[in-house]
Amino acid sequence: MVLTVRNVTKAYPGQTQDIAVLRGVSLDLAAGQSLALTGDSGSGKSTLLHLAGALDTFDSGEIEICGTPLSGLNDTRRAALRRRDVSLVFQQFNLIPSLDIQQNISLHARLGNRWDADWGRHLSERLGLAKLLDRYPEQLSGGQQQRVAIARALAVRPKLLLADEPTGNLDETASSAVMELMLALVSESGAALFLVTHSAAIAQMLDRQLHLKHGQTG
Amino acid sequence: MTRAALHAVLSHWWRHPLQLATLMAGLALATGLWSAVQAINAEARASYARAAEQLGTAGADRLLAENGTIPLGRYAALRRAGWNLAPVLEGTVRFGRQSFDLMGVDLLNHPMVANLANAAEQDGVQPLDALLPSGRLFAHPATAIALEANQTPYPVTSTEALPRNVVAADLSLASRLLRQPKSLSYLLILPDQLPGLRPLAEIAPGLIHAKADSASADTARLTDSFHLNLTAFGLLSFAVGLFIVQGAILLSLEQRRGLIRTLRGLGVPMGLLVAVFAAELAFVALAAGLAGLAGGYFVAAALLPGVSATLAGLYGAPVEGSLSLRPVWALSGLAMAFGGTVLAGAQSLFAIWRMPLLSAPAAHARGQQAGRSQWGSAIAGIACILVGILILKTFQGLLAGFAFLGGLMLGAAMVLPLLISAGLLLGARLARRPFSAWLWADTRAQLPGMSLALMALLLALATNIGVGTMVSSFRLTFNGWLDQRLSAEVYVTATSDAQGAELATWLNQKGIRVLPIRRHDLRFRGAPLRLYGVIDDATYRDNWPMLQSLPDAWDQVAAGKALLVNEQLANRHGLSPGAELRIAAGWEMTIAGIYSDYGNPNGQAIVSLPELLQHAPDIANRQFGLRLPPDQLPETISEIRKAFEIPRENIIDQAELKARSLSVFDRTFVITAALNLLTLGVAGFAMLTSLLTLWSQRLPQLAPVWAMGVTRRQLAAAELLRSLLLAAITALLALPLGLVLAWALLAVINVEAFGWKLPMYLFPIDWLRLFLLALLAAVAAAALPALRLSRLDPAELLKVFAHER
Amino acid sequence: MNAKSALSLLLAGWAATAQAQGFAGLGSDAEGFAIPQRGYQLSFPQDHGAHPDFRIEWWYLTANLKSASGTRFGIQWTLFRSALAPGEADGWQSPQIWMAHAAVTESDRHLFAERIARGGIGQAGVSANPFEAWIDGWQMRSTDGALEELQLTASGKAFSYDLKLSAEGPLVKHGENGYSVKSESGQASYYYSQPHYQVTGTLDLPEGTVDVSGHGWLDREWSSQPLAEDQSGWDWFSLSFDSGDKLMGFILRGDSGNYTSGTWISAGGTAKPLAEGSFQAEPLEFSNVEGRRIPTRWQIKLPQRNVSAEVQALNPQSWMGTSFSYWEGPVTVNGSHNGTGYLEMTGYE
Repeated sequence: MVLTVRNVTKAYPGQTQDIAVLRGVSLDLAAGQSLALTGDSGSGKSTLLHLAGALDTFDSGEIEICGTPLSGLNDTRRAALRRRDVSLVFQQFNLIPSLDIQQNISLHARLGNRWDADWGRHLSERLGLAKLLDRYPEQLSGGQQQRVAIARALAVRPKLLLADEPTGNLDETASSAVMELMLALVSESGAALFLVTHSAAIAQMLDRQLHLKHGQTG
Repeated sequence: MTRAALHAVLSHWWRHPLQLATLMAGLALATGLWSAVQAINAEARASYARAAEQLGTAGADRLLAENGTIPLGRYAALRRAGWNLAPVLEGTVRFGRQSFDLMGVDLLNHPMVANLANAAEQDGVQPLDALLPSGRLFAHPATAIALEANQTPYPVTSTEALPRNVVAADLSLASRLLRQPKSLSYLLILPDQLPGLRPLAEIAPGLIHAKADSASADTARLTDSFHLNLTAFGLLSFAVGLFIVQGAILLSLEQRRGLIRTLRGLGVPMGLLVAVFAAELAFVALAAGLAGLAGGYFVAAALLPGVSATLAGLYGAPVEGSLSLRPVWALSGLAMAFGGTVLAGAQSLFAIWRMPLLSAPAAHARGQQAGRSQWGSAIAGIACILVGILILKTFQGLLAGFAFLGGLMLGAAMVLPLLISAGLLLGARLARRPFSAWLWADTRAQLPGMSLALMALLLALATNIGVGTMVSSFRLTFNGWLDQRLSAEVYVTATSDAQGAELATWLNQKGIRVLPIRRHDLRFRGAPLRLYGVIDDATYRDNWPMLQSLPDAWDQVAAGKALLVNEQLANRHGLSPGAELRIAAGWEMTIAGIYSDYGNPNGQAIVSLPELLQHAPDIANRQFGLRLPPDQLPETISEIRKAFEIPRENIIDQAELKARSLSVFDRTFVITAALNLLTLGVAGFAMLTSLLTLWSQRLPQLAPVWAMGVTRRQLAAAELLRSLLLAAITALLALPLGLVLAWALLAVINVEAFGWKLPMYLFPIDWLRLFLLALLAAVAAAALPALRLSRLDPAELLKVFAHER
Repeated sequence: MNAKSALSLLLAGWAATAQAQGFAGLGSDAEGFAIPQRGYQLSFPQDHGAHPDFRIEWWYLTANLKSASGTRFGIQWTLFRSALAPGEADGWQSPQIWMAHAAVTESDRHLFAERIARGGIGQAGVSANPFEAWIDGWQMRSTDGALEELQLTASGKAFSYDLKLSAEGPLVKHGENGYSVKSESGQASYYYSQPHYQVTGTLDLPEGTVDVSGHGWLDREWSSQPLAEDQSGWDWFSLSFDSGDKLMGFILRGDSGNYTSGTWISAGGTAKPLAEGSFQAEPLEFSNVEGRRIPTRWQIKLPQRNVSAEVQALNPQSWMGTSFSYWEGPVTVNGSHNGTGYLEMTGYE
């Protein structure tokens, strides 16, 4: 299994009492599989994604990435995990405005010392970025920026790709085009995909769907 | 990983070169002004040390006589008791039209003999010839030129080994020139002494043993206050520069919040990120520090001649006009740059450390934070001011005075944002039209970003007002004092005592009132004291600038019962009229009054001439003040010149003497004026940089206003207006602060540094000029952003909306 | 810069020009200075005092002493007067410069000190009646008014001494009744001695105080040009034999040959001048002293008195590293005659 989630709970401190966001969530994701997580706003789907990306810590239960349990890891080890095995694509793209496109694409892979120029070139060609490599993010449209974010995430050749509403900032046409490209490239790279979306249409494009309600899987 | 992270973090500067320039310039300015001041201080101190060393007085204790001179026989007796002493006779000697300080030494045993002998050798002269009747003078090349220009009738050997203001000669010649064959000024106790000698206290009980630091520290004691002043100025400039630096660092961090979060999301550990930012700051500190050092060096080199003039004018302290590079100075400058960067950047580094990995900052919350931090800053500021007052009340002295000033200035700067904010709130309440209401509110919203620059402006303006008021008050007082003090119409210096006596008789016969100016130098409680003997004349009774006196002060002085002391002496030793003062062994008098004596660092006292002659019968009798109707002046002068061989330069009329004194005074404050202007320049630059750095953040706020139909031109005008508004409020607040500063300088610092208290005068025209200057700086600072705004491509404004989707 | 090197610098020009002509300016022309005259009758006590019209003058005391435990010591006390111009003037105007050297020599240690002072101001000088010669804290003072009883003190950083001298014989005039010729061309000085002092007193040394006693020899000499132009230095011997006889002999080394002279002083105190060339001295052994090659063992001969002996330095390193440097130290005599003495050698460069 690339990702195993077992009975994970998570609560945030509230004004009078803690607010439980996840109340014992479990799921599995094998290599090459894709899983869509849907749910209403506040259902905890983004929180679950952040936990899976080792961006945040959980209260109980266990999450394993490629067999490594996250509960015992310190900040440094979790950062190392993010550099190599896990990649993220955010709704807000989160490109570095002061780096050009080529540098943005290679950044994550170079942080993890696994930059493969051929693979990078292949990704930018497939994502239609080849002619934009010396531009800066602010000079690109939203759809282009999201494709850069996808290229950056896949350049690492992650075992697990996490995507949080990756097309949330795009219109419908751009959205489905970007989704198709992403799915194709994910399967080409052999990564497992764990995607959070509120769109049923997008969820249907993935192998499996999981619905989160009040912090629990249904 | 490190390289990639470093590259990502640093790429920010590549895209924001202006911000980088601001940061570097701010730090370079701070370092530059600070190290300029330090270079000047170091150079001046090195000059004193070099002079002391060249004169052989460094590190050597001295024996002094209470009454000023040591009989030659006393010296011989001490030598025969085995003590290794070097005799020195000091005095002033006149060649041609110029007076020189002459230092007579025994060429066989004074510490500076080697240097003089070397110099003589290079002149092809046998050094010992200087002992023979033809004699020989030794002087710094510059002084040697002056000696030769005045047709000095003695051969002169020039040597760099002597400080500028001293002419040295063997005692055989010096004792002849100074007409003191049987007395010495002091004895240097040379370091090389035989063991087992009878203690000096036992065999020379009448002589004062002055420790090296106190003896050679005469100059240091006097000039320390001046250097402390300079240091305070330097520190102020440094603080102003740091405001710029902190602003730039905070902004750069603000703009890289997203980058930091993304990098962490991509797996860059926190420790590495903080290290990368620290490395960035270190590099900036190094580069800007080096640039600042280079700049500081040039500023110092440019200012040093002014400083030399100041020190020479104020204290007669010798400072070479050229600057040398000292490693210690460079290191301390770099250390200041690093220290300053750490100070300014620590907050940023801490913020990175504390920055959560996920949640995005909420703009609204930060607005509230700004309000809270204004209150916090104001409370801290008031605490600073209170601590300053407490220090001033608790401890005396110059340092306490500066601590008070520091607390006052820093505290006022910290209170400033709250005061401006309150002013803007008031303005917004009064605004009627929507555009002006928006302008007031928007200005208030901008305040957090501008407050550091405004603090810098406040400090610079207040300093200008304070120091300007101090200097102008001083000058006004000094001018009035000169009028009182220089009451004789003309001053004549005879070439010899005999001629002096002859001249006095001749003038008396012509019915001209003659005021002999005769003085005797001695040591009083370890410091120099100059004693004047005056005759009983209405001139003194009518004009002398008395501060406090007994009712019959002049009668008592004339009767030889009392003396008058200058303010410095009174302050230093807590003297007051009516008290008894023991001037020297067996010479005790009542203090009849205290008079003001500006521009003189040393103690001074006045007794009746017969009284002085009783204790010092051999004093020179060459200087005279003449009272006569002004219309007889030219005639009398030409008659004197006909009857006596007195060079024209030896006859100075009142007006000329006043002009000379005032020019010395003005030179004294050249450096102050220059530093004032520099500080204001730095503050103006701080405003410019804040406005420029705020630029990128402004667009999202301006775009909606623009969309609602306000033209870009109007927006640009609003930009200028806003800058003017902030500068004007700051300038108004700077006025009371400046006046408090002036009071502190006049009533606290001056008393501690020089020993005199000065009345404070107000100069509203100067304030107005400064106010306009501040507005000008504000307009200049806002001009560039405003211009950019008026020419902004509407597409740029539209982008704001596109991004916000 | 320490006092000594400063002093050397000051005097360097003086010494350099002087040494080009002979040691310490003794060979230069006597411009304005008085010149010793043959036939002049020395008169005492006046002539014990200073003669400011002459260029150079000295009061030169050496002594061979022993401690109670038998350790040998040599003592030197010299006051030089050197005039920049003839005559005396009051106060700082005086052209007279005074210089003094003191030394304590043991077989393995040579301690010395130097003083320099202005004339005219009371810091240094010599008065004839009562006799007193002084510079700073050093003095050679008569306790009876004349030269018969003296008290001698000097102190340096590492030593000081306080000695009583008591003359047991008459003054000795060298050469022709005190007129001592120094070269073929007639350069001369006035020269007399008191070689008969019994000495007792104490030495203060780094290890402590030592009581000593022995014999002392005072030389008085003044002149304006005692050396000829080509003479570069001298080797001077003052020897006291166990027999009670004494021998003063010197060699003035010149480019055109050496000039030797001397005086034989019998045990009773009668002085006989030696003819030029009759006193002979040959170096037997040289020592490396302060980078110089200096003879520290000599063969001396005075055939007319059957003297043939070796003179050996007590301490070959008796170098006076003063402003004018020279070798001065106690010696031992072995051979036809045995005894002790002092040797002075100048002009070795």
